[in-house]
Amino acid sequence: MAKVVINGEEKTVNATSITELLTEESVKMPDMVSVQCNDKMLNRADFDVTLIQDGDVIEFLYFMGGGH
Amino acid sequence: MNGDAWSFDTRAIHSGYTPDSDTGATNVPIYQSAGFAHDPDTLEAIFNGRQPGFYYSRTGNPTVAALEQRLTALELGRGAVCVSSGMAAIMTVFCTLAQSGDNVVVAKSLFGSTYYLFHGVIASMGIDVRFVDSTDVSGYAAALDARTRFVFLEAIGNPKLDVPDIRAIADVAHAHGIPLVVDTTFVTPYLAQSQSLGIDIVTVATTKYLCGGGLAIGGAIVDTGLFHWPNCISNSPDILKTAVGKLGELGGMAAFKKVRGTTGNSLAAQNAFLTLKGVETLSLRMDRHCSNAMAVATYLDQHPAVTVTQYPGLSTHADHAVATRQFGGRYGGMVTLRLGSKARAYAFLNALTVIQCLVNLGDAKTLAVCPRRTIYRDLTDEQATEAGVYDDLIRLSVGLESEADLIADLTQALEVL
Repeated sequence: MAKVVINGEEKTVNATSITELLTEESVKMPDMVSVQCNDKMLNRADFDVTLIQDGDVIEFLYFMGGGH
Repeated sequence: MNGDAWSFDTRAIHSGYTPDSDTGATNVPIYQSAGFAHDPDTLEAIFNGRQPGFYYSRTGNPTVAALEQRLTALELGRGAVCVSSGMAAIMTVFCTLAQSGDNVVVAKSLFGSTYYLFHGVIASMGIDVRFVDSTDVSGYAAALDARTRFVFLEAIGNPKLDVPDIRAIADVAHAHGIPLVVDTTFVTPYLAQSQSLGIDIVTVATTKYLCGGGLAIGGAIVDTGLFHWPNCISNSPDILKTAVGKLGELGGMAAFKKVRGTTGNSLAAQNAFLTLKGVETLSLRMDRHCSNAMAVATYLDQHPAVTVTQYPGLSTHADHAVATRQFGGRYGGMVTLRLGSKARAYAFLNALTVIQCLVNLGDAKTLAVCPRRTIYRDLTDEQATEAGVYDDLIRLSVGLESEADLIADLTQALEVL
């Protein structure tokens, strides 16, 4: 488990990667979400391999146009 | 079953919406509401993209979003933004990608309003609009330079009905690191799979074949997912730089959406609903449009009163091979004919009984128009000729009626000449 801040809210999460975190946080349209970790924009291809660390500040940013 | 694995027809009917959890409604509800209420923290989070949601229908609406998701699914793309018309789609793309001092490379063979948008509006905004022959691949390459922001063309020129080699032109644009923008109104995603053709951004007038019944004005922009947005922002307008900086690959769509909301080019929820219903039957209708148009073109091509018939499906059409390769052996519903003079063209139009004189296209009804003195009235004779428009040219949007009745109507109208 890691203590992180997601969109300004402190949380303890079980996820070890960004992909797992999107699932744990029940993000409905993950293809329509960009992710910043500690002020750095993550490439979508790296979501699986980016590991969650204690103290990470993570931002989910939603594009609310239509995406599949 | 994952929606990405569905066939085209299943995506056309089911993507973007599941039955309403409260009521079980199987059709997308028409969210006829200007605004959406939230507590202040939620409203702030939605505004800042930290939470999904809607707050004002100029910037986003659930019915419109369902249509956007369905169009994205049809194109197997990255995302879509629906706007108030096909013209609004082109203008939104332009405002997002280009600014004063830039240039754009545009095919000459364009719908009249699109030609006027580039020639009469955009060119007066400090943009160098470089028109090239739509089928001349080397012409595109020669016109590009470091300040070119995008290449724009129509998948089938309206009304010239020429067919550019989209894949070859995409390769030219991509070699310069810029996106290829293609208006696919005449072909729809059913005839043209945009990703496979190298199209980066689709613009489409949903008014036409996607909606189908001549019911609702609308347009859409689809990001096919091919273009790598972070690579192209160095000389881009601030609105694109900001969006890509914040959202990465989703930045292109976010910028289109921002321009839509800022300029007020929004699609009404009612029109989105009508378009969603039309999309459900797109493939069935397009097959009939194509077969009827082939029958009409074949008939006109052998008629002695007709001097020229144009249809990409005719083996004598200059771009028949390209059209066959790009559109899977289907050629759309648009046919043109020339009758020798404006007087003969008008006499023909006046004699039609089933076919209606109307400037729209993609309707279930067959429509005919003489475009030179209507849609193309603002063009000089030289510009009109380049666009393939003549006083005696009639554009037919072949509809879904009985093939025999259409041929009969054409026959009796040609007999009066």
